[in-house]
Amino acid sequence: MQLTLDRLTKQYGDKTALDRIDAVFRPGIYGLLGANGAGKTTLMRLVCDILKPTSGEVAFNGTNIRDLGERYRSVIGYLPQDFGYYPNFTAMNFLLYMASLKGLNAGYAKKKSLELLETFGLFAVKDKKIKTFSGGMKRRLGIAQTLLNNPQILILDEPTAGLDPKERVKFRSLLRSFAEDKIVILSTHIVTDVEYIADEILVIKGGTLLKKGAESTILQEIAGKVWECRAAGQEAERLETRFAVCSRKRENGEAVLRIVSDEKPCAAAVSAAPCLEDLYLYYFQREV
Amino acid sequence: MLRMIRFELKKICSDSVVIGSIAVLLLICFLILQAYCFGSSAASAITPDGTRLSGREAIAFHQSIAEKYAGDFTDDTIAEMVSDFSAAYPAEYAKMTEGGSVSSWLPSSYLYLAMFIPPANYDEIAQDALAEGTSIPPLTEDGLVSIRDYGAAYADKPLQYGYGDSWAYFFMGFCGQTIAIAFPALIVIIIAVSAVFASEYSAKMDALILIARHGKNRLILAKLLAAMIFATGIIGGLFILFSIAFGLQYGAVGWNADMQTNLGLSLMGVNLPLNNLQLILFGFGIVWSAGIFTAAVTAMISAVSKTPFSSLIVSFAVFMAPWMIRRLLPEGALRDLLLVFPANAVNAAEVLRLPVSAASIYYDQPLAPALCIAFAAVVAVLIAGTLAYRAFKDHQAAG
Repeated sequence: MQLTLDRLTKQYGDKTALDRIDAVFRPGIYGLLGANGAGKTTLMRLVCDILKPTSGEVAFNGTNIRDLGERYRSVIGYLPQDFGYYPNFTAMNFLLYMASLKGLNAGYAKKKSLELLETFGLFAVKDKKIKTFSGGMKRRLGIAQTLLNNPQILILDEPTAGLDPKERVKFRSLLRSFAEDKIVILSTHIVTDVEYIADEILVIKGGTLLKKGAESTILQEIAGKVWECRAAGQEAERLETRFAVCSRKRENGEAVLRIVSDEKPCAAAVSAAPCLEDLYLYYFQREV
Repeated sequence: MLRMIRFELKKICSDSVVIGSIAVLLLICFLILQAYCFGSSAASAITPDGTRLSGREAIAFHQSIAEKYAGDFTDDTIAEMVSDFSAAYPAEYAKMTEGGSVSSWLPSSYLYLAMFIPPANYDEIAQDALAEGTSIPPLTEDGLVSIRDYGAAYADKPLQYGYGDSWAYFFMGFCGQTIAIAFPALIVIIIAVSAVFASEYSAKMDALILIARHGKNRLILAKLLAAMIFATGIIGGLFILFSIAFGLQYGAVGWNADMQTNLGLSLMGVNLPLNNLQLILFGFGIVWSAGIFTAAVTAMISAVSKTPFSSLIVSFAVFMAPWMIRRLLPEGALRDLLLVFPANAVNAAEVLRLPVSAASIYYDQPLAPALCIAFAAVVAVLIAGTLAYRAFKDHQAAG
């Protein structure tokens, strides 16, 4: 199973949202990293065939997904960044409705819906209207609907937004167990989620694909560019103004700063092992 | 597909705006029924001895008088009715012959006899006409205006007379005029259907739907069918409500009398062999066609609108435009053609009467307006359905 993006481009008028993206996805979990407006959602919607590319194509097992049509849609699951649900539907009815759209037969749809409601901790409220749900419950319901048709390709746009830490941990473990032999592409602002579950990371900036690879490979890019230094008073303020600071904590009356910079920020700075948050800041410091 | 249609109907019917509009429609329905069914003059009567009757007693009285003349409706029947009327209600008869207004509590069989009683100066009018080189039809042996002069066209066999009040009120209240229940029913259809597609965009459900296996094909068909079913349900529901109310109040007496003999409807000249029951079914058919037309066009507008509100405003404007334009136009072909649009078509009495007018393009083609309305509905469903299908299928869920 292979999903291929071939010079995928999307323009809105004069604005280029995605510019000639080339990538190949095989079974595994892929994390999209990028600032707001980088093109992550556009990329996901193109992969889902709900946006038409300006040029280039998305191919599934060698065939353009636009030619596959219904056959492609039957193997894909998608969670948009935000959507309205139907406030007057119950959780069960919502899943049954989505199941009917996905072409599942009534008996299987009911069984699978109950199973997913149980998995996502919504069984007790299955007959409650969605308008009574919290943001986290709605998000879990949204994730549940993506799994109804046991998709081979799963596209999740900010799946963990609104989930509490416990729910996020549970979601990550669920996704990991689900992702066997499947292509999972997810985007999130919560870098630790990507760090924990993604096999490969794609860094998108200004509509172009900057990096694609395993975390360790990508982090090599900023090896030697992450620093930790102790500074006091005005010196700390000067460093914060001049460099991208990942974190700042106080120890013994001094500020301990973690800085991402091509140059050594101060004489006392010591090199630190990079993490994904450093990488994010390195590429997107102007956007954040 | 059935499950999808059921869910789409559930979505339509759970919208609070739709629920509110249905509640208002039921209130209007209640008021119309109160005026036409329960509080009409057919539920009040005055007997020859001056006794005032009301409710079922009055209805039974009206029906018994009408049943006396049930059967062939000829000049002789009219003469008999006029004779009985003059004998039973001499004072009211005198008022009628003098051209004055008579009590609406009179037996309905007698109320419209004025159209057969010539004015006192009839001979003078005839002579004036002769002097001007024209002529007016001669009176019958009994000195009355003949029914032939009202253009009761299929005179090869006599029209059938019977009790017609309830059928006339049913028809008038349902679709026999602009201010009937059919018009607000179409507005409820617009309110409900305007959100069918547009609400998916505004609720950001479009992406989820379009990614689903049937999201770009069967679901669109299911939405269109749900819109048609809703329209049918609203119009059918009102028709059943009217049938129950009128059935309980008046029964089915007079169902097989010809609509031309239902003098209160002024359909004497309509050359279409329909009895009273067929008349209201004809009205239902016209209103249903208008409802389907409205639902299809509204669904199409919904598919190309960003929000249910903008869809509602545009749909309402598109619905009302032919109605307003028609009122501004002088008699002519364009005015007649505009009849096919739902806001005009729901006046089923006009649909029937138009072919009687020599100035109409439908002249002497009694079924032509109805067929044009049905044809327009089919065309609207096909074209608007196709456009809605394409618009939603090709919708770009940009997020």
